[in-house]
Amino acid sequence: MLNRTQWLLKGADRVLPLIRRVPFVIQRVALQQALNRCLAEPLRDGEFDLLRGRWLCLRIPDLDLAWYLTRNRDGLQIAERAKADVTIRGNWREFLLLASRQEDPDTLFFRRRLVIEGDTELGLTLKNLIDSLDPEVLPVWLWRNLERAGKGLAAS
Amino acid sequence: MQLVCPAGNLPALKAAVRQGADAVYVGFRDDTNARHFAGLNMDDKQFDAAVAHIRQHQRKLYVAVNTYPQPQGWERWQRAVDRAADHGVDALIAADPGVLGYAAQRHPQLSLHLSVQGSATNASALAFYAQHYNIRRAVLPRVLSLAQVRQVAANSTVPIEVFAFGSLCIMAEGRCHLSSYITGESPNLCGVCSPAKAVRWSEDAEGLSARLSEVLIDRYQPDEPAGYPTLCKGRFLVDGKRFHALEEPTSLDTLDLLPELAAMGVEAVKIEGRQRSPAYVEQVTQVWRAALDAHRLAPQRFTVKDQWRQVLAGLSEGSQTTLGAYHRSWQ
Amino acid sequence: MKLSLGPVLYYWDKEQLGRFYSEMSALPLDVIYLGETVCSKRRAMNLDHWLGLGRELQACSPAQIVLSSLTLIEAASELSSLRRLCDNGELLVEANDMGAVQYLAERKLPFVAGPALNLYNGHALAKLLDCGMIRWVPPVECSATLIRAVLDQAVELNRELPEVEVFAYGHLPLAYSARCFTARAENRPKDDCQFCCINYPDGLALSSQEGQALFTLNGIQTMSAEVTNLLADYPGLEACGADLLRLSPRAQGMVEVVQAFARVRQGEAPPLFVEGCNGYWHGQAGMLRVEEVGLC
Repeated sequence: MLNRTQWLLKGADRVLPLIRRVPFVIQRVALQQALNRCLAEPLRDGEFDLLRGRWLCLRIPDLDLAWYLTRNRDGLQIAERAKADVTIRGNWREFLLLASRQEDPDTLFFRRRLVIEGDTELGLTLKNLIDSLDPEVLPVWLWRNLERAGKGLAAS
Repeated sequence: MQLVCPAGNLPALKAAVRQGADAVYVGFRDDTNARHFAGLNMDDKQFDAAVAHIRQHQRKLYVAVNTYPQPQGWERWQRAVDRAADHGVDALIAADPGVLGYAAQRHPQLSLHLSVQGSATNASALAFYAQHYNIRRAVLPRVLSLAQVRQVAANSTVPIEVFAFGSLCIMAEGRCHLSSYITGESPNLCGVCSPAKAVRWSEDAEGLSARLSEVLIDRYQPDEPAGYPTLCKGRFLVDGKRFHALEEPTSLDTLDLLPELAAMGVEAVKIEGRQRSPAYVEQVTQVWRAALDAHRLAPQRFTVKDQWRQVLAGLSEGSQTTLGAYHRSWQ
Repeated sequence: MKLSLGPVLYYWDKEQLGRFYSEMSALPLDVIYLGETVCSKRRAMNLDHWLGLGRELQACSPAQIVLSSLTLIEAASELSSLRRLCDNGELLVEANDMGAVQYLAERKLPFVAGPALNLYNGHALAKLLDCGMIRWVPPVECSATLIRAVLDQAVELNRELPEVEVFAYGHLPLAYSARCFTARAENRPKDDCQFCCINYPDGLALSSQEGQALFTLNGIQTMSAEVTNLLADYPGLEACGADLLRLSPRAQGMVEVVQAFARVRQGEAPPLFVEGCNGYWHGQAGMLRVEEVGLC
């Protein structure tokens, strides 16, 4: 008998690739606003300054998505295309496990479920940076749902 | 035995505390400690929060200032020692005789632990540090067999802390120049081994190549797990044979030895992994807390649960574990 | 600058050692180091043999004879051997572990601090000086600039400087392990190694999968594949305050090596180029060869 989370995750495989159909402009606006809101404190503390003038690409092959991130004067900016200094590549489940802290990133890297390409030092610095973010700075509803989804995935 | 857990950042420290660590060890965000990776370790704000959190939960906080300062950086190490002392941390983990001397003289109330980077493998070496710096504990390098650990523990007045779980360093810690030979940076000189800036991955017909300063460390086929190219863990050619000539990627796991470690009077068990994530710290601490509690409650009936093994194997390099030098057959 | 012959790092049998030191005794060396610094299982020579060899050398060479001690001391038996070595009563001792420093300091005996001791700043040097160190062999990864800075800092701390001996020729000793890599390469456990490292008088070569020479396996010790050679850097060595140059023995060609260094010491112009790496001396990765004309 599946619980609600696991039922939702099963559906996600069919639904999430549909994101590709959403015009990039809308993807970008929604995601960019959300990121800048959630990461307001670390942004203020200068934690993401290492991305000034440099591009991180998050590539999700099973959703055929790639987002390019940089840090400019106003905060984090997402672009449809850029020359990536470092790319982190993985399927959507791996990123969810990562975001929800249910799986250790190194384990995902060892098993090649997450791959860093390009400037390894930048990639590892970002990994350390993300690890150091206190989930308690994220909005409670977001963290709770991330955690629940991640746990469901880890248990399956 | 005390459970000493690593924290490379505040969430990891909170995870360790949450899961029952007795002590947590951290470093500052610079090269005064031997895990000097960009983005890792505590900046001022995080350190203040860490101290407050530890006090609130009545655990212990150790600060590692365990690299070897060179003359032109000396003031930086002094300031690191001062910062740790001024925050009233429970111990400073150090290796350099100069740093130990400064701490002992300037902050006599600060407990000093000899870092594994001090490479002290015998009772006489421990006696040196005990006599000159009054060290309260020593972390033993991972090159000693269990019998040798027993001998050191029996013949030394200094309480012993041993590595119980985590990545394995196969060379005597603190006396390894392999990394600086290839990349120019080593733990003693810069607080890093096999630095990330020297790493380059490339995919070609022969597989996924991992290089350090353009030296090929290993090459992986699509079905093989890939590790970080720590230079002693690659596959090399000796006499025409290709194999892990030095060490294969594996993690130390001494759960099976817990009763023996306790019996020989080891004061603390140390989990390696300041560079690992909060998820790693959370899971490893949970398993070891459960194991230590189970042993304390019923030492004679202690057995290692399969579930503990699975969790630890899942977090291990190469997805496999070893008893390392503790077991003579490893040597 | 004086010339010293470092301890033989490989496992040679008594006959080979005898022939080797016989050749070396005729050369203009100022210091000769004897003893086993790598593995306590190598029993071709025991303490009495080394002391005997030392007396023979003293009879036919003006060189100072020094007894080097084991670097990695793990077993209680190794500790007692170390104690006996420190108590030998005849020869100066090179300490390669802080345990040896402790014994020698307790007995108020002067000693040489070998390259396996972690001394990277003037404060640590001062401590060892206070314990009785009279000669310092810096860790092989130290650059000229670093060595100079350490000495300067020790002077600022009002210490009288020790003699400084720089590792100037030979395979660089880089790491020590509990595991025996030679045995591993022959698929033997260390407990039943059959002393196989004796079959590799110059160590066992390790290279990358692309055939790039990386390291040399010598039992529990890992050395560089490249031979370091600082002969072309002779002026820089002088300028930095080196008092002795350590020439680390190899199975072949040591006579020519010692003579080449001796000629430059006598006033011959140092060669502009020699085979071998010198990266560490110039503050870079050890395996590199850096061309640099001029002083440090």
